[in-house]
Amino acid sequence: MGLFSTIGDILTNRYFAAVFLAAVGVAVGLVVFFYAFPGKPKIGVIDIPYTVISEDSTFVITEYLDYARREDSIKAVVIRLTSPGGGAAASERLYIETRRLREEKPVVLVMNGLVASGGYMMSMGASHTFAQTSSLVGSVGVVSFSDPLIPPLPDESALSTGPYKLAGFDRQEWFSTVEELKESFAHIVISERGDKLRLSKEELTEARIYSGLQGVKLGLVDEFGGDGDAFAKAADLAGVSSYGLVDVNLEVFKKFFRELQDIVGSSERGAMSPEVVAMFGRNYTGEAPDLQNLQAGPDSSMESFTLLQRLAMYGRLGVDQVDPLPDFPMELNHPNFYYLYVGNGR
Amino acid sequence: MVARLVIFALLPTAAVVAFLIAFFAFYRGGYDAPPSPDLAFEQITTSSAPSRITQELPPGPARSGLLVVDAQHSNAFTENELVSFTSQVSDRGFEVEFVGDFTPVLDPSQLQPRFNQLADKLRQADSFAVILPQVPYSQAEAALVEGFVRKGGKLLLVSDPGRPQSINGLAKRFGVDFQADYLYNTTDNDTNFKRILIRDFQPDQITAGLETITLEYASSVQSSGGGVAFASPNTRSSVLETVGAFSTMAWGESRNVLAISDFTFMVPSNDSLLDNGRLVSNIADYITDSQRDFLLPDFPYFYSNAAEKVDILLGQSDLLSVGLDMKTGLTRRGTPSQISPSEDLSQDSVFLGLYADSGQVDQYLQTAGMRVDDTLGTPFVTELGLEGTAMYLLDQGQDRDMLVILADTPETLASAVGRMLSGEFRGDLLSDFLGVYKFVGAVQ
Repeated sequence: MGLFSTIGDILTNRYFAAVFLAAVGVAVGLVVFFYAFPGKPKIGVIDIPYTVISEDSTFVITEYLDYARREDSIKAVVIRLTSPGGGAAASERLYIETRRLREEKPVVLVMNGLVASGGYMMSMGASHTFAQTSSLVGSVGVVSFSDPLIPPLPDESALSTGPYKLAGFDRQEWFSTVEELKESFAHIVISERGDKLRLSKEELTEARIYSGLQGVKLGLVDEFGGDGDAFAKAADLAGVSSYGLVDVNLEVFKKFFRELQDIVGSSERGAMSPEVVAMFGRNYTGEAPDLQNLQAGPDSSMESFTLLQRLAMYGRLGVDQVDPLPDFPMELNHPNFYYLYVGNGR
Repeated sequence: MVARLVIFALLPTAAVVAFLIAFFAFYRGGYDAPPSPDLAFEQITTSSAPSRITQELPPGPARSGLLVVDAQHSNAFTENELVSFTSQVSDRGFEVEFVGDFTPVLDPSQLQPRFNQLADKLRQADSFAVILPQVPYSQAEAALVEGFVRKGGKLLLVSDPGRPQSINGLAKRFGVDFQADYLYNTTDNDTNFKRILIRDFQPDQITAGLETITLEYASSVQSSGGGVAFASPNTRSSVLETVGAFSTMAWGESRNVLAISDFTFMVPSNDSLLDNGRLVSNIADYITDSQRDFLLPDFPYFYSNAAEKVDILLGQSDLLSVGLDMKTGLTRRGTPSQISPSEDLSQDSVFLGLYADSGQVDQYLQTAGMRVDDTLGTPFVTELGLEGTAMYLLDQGQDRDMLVILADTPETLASAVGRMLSGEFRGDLLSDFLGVYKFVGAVQ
């Protein structure tokens, strides 16, 4: 009784109560700040190591950008990019998505090694860009491949409803289309760089590769710098003084992994649900994937991991593109306009 | 009561203060996204494609002759791509023949037959087109083409930096050097920097009526004969990286050799752009305007009046079998002939006789500076014994070619005609008009 009486006296003591309530208040305030709103600010880091931009890689990178945009705790984004570019439409999509992210959160892009052509187009969506003096940037231009000067005639068995139904356009229009894409690319760079750009359109569309040193001097890049500069700049633009880092790649992978586990089912680790078996179709060998092993990523599992990744991200779409139309007798050609730095001019 | 209220107010106050302290410790302000530039893609304009011209081309003069097109050296084009040009040549009365089948000769034993085939075609040809050979010409082949050009044959050399080719070994023999570059112009072009516009032409038959042509992918060409079509002054060379009035079409050492550094301009449908069609037409005019000399080594193609039969004249009636051999041989080579009892001075002819019959062709012998008596005298070799010998002589009149073959015996004559028809006689030639054959078998 004596102990309880003593505690009661302390609690009813007004000085102690004041200190206690103030401490609780501080705790509540900090809990609200850190766990409810707005939380400790974070800078999302998206790593894009040497990547040729394709439909697949664009899908994944767009997932990263979308995650960074939706995640409230991420107040700014740093993208570390190395890319020679790739497909024209895919590259432009990355530019659009980066620009969309920039309209909500500052995006600082670090040009590592090579950021050329479609990769450079993506960088135009960033709020600020850094490059090292030895980085290679630029290559504003288009690569395309046409039919021979006199294309082979379609087989007599092929019936189409217009002279351009099969080929799409004639050689002259192909030249014009390539030129339009070049103009469009240059227009994006000129619009985004504004007064900073010290190259004329004619010089820009010579599609030269510049060193980071030249790139900064010519206004193709904002500043020299690396990751630390990028984080500082991102924090500055976001208006945060102290921040944590979020590995966006990892977070998206975790998200994907959780979704995959949902698909596979948790009752028996590795046992695949009938739905997954159905999704695998003819590729399914009957052996359940070892998810633990997949996560570890031994080379032998990479192929099946990639397949799982595609299945999880696309469903069945794209998985069977090797022979998409089994009875179609003509070879299908992909659109072949590229914002790509090839390296040797061929 | 008030003190209690104050104490209880401490909790929210402390919470707010802690929240604000934390907030301002981490946040200095918000992100104020700068407005993104309005891209307004619809305002993008590209240089419009050149209007296609269906130009009424001047009709070419009707001529007869043969254009041979090289297809022996894995040439990097197809017959379909050349159809615009070959049609223009055919429209002018020329025949067009391809020598070879576009495949390389991999078997070394086939090299000599390939050479013989080329030699035979060039004996017939008035003009020769070498377009994008991927296999370089051998020294012997190049010498053959040189001989063809020396006789007045027209040679068209076409290169293109966009296709594999190995033409310079041959071209350099004629003073032409296709550069290992491509020309480009980033401001004055036909929808692409490599598609250059040519407006600067030297006044010439080959450039008549041309205002602007478009070359899809051209190199520069240097030539001792001088250029005839030049890129605009701000055009650059990919190798030299300098601006200049680069030549894309040039004469070789003589006007018998024309070099062009782009092939694609003559390919349908590029041949319908701007004045490209007119250029193709002009080249066809040039090719069919050959003044080639057909000489004794070109037997039997010096007989130019293909529509009329060649008269075979016999010095003696017992030489009929030799005459029939000659008739059969000429027919096999596409030259119709007939045994004729007497000389018609308006007809191409071949005279077959013995030295004893030399009086019948004395005028031709004298013109050539030859003498037949106890010995055979020629401008090159004097006092050659008659025994076991035969001689060939080509007399080219204004409208008539007369071939004279004389020998000491009917057997030697038969052997000489056999060498004539097999082509071995070319080893007996002393000049482009005269040959002497020593029948070794008869001497022994």
